[in-house]
Amino acid sequence: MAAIVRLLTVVLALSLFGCGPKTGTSLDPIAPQTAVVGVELGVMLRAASGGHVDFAFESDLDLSQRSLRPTLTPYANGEAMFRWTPLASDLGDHLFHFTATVDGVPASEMVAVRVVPGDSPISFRSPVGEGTTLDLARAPCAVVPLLVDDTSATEVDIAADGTLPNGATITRDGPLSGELRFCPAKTLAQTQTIYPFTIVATDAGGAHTEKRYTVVLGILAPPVVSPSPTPNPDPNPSPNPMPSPTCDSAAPAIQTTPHGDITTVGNPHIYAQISDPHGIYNAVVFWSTDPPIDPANPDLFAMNAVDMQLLSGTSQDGQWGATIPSPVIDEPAGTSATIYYVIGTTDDDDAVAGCQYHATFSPTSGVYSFVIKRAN
Amino acid sequence: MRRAALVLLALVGGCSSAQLPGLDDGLAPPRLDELHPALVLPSSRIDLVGTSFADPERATTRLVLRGTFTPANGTAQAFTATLAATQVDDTHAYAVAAGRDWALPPGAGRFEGTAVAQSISALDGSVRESPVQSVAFDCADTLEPQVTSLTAGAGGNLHVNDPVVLSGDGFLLGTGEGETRVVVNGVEVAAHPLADAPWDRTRVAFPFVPAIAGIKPGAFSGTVVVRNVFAASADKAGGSLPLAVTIVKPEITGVAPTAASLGQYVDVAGGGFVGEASDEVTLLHLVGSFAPDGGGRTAPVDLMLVPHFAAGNQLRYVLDEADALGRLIDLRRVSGKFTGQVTPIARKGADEVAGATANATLAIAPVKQVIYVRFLPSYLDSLRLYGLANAEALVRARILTVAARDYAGINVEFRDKPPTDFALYSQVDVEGPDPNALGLLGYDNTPGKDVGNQRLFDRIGGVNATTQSDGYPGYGGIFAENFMGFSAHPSSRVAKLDVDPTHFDAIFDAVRPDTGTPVSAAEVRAGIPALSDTGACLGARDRATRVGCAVFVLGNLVGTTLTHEAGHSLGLADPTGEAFHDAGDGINRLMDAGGDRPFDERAELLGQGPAVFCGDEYIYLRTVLPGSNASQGDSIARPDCN
Repeated sequence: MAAIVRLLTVVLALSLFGCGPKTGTSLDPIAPQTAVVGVELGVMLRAASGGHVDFAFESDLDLSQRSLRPTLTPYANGEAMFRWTPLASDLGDHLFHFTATVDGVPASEMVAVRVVPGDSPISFRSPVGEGTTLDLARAPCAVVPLLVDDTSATEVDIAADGTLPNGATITRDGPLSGELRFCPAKTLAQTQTIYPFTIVATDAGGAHTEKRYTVVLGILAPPVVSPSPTPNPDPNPSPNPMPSPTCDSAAPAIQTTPHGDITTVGNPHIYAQISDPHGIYNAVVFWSTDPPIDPANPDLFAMNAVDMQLLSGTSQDGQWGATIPSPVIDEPAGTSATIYYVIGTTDDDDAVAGCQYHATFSPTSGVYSFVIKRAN
Repeated sequence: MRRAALVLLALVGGCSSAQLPGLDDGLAPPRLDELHPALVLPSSRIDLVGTSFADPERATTRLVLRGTFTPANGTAQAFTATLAATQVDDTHAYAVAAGRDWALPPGAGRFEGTAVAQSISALDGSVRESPVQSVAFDCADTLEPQVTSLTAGAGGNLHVNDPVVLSGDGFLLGTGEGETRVVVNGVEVAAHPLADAPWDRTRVAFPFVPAIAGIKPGAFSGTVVVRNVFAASADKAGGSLPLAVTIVKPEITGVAPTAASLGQYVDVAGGGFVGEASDEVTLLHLVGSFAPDGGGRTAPVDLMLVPHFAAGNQLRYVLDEADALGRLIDLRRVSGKFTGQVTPIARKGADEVAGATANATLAIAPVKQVIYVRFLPSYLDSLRLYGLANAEALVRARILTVAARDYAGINVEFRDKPPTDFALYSQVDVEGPDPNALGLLGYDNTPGKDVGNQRLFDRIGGVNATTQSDGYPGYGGIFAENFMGFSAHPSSRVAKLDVDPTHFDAIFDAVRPDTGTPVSAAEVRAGIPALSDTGACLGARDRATRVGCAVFVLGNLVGTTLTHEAGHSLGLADPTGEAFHDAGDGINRLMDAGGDRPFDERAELLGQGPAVFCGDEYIYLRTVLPGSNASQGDSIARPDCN
């Protein structure tokens, strides 16, 4: 209503200046328009005249304080192009009053323009990727710098969408920047390894943007004894069932000498001779400085996992090795710790479809252990 | 009081205006070759295939159907429909068989008649129509699917998320009409037409999603139950088929490109990738070595990357300073080559499957600045002032040629299409008037001085609140209209600059609408001479040369302003100091202040220009953006910066 009152005032003012409505000139009707914030709106005005036409417009907008003003470009055939790029502050309904004057005779059209939000002016510039990995054996935290670009505001709030897991914080360290820090406790790391974060940046104008970022803990899951998916009972068995495969029934074999106590400034290395007729799919050393709660059945998920590498030989019969990061490497000389470990391996039976994999652990029950002492 | 002043201003402005010739929006009539699908259901998408479907900013598109509709077991009746259509690209648009304009009687039947595509100009409402095309299609209220066979994987081996293809008939197309769905192992999944046959109701495919059987390798057997789910009517069952497959480990079959720089995407093709659900992720395990360019010490590499999951057969990794690779290698200063193996590792919850290891090489290319030059509609409007609207493509080409020339030897690439291969790129808007109303030719509105080009994502254009809050003009871009200020008789909207207008008018008066004859579309079609210099421009009398000179010179004016403003966003001038421009008035220095860059130098007339980056600026740019072939840039004589 206020806009209409202002416009009526304008029309009255136009009349007082001698350009008031008279008959004899016409301006083609203009349909209501929808404009998008930040996107130029173009409206063609067409007067029914072959002669010289003067165009003018008025609106409920206060143009006195803005630099990006609407423009009106007249053309010789009685047409004019009105162009306007609305700002975020223009959201909502507006009225424009256009006037075409021919030989002193004006005609006018009132046009309603609804301004709707467009593309968000705000976006994340860092991180640009989708995620990162965190190996807790190497670093306690993932630290991800956050940087926001906002064309319509000078500062933003940065926060998490939802509850952060324990050990995670999002802090702002500048008007448009911040940091995601995730330092998961070992107990948390044992519950899951994929941590998707949704980080939200919001400015005072209400514009907001989201960034999905995933921190993946580098602990590898232990090999699984029975990797085949468990099929549901099939009520409609296939008329062409798969041929019965000839599966390898042999499990891989591990030969290893348990690591003895050691005094060193470096890291301990674990070696094993591993063999299987169809080759090895993977071999892993699970280790911890905490003794297993159940000494006979250690919880491998509660232990750190390090991939073993094939050092010599073949996948069917080869020497494998892995390096355990010393828990006392940064401690004073003489500091010691006990390392408990298990070697696990899975064979590779993909050559025959549908066969189960086999896993072997060494020792077959319990754990090996040795004491590592920091040398001078 | 302020309002009254505004009214007076409007009246004064409204009663005196120069007028330009009538508009030609340059819209070509569309051509309609095909209409799909052959069977239309309630709310089906009716796809138009042809050419010259206009961008929505330039025109709205409509589909007009005229003919007869013959109901099953009924008599033919006249049917006409005018449907709003949505442009997809130049060759595709679609309408929807719904709403009050789609007034078909209920029940099945057949339409036979004609179709016409219309483009309604946003500029003046004028209508362009395609030639009339004969069309016929069936209509129905519902459709019962019939599945006859299915195909999964190769030789019974299937990756997680691989498509399982159902063959039969009566499948839905997945648009507004509804979609065909399957239930496998208690998991419901939508099936969609194949990408290469979007209107084929005889084949659809669904992904073998991880929810069906997890991600671990092994044998799976189950049943696929099919039904059609409509938008507004009851479901139709379509039978079931057994499915028996062997799920195999993920694998990588290709990596492209094989060289990438910071902010660039690397696409990884293969199968068995997961990541759609929040408890799923696919990692890339890289093991090998990295050899830096220039013979530095080779470093071992053993790291995990987290790429974007695009589909079961595609991952997209972007080189990022924040991830494991970015922490290992300074992607801004180090280039080289990784050689080794890459292994995809799929995780879902506590399950993990390591895929097949593949040999891989990936060159880490020197950091590159891609700049998207966005030409706005107001730029096209401004070309009308110069009489060059019909030659817009030629002016644009000249602008881009100038940009590439000025950055020879520097790892900058200018494009006029939004990059899809880089996540990090800058943007420069080329527009018409100066929104700041300051009569500027161009303005870098990026905040501060980005020494070292830390921001690969600057935007020169639109508004920047931070710049504005610092007391500077907020709106940036290249303002093509304001070059008219070099004329003795600029348009009413442009203020005359205090310079000698003789050469500007000698170039442009011949083609300006108010002083000469604008370049016509016919002239452009006949060919406009491509110039390599302006030697023949001043005093030229033949029309072709005059037109060629106007195109060439306007391209130089806009192009060198573009390269100047882009230089600012890269940290110039004076990257080690406080100044934004070169000190004093040097000859042919691109980063001199605007007042120290005379028209002849900008236009490259009478032996002046082209302006170049001065010596220290070029060395700086080569430092922050190395890697491009330096020989071209190094061979250019450069003025001293001081």
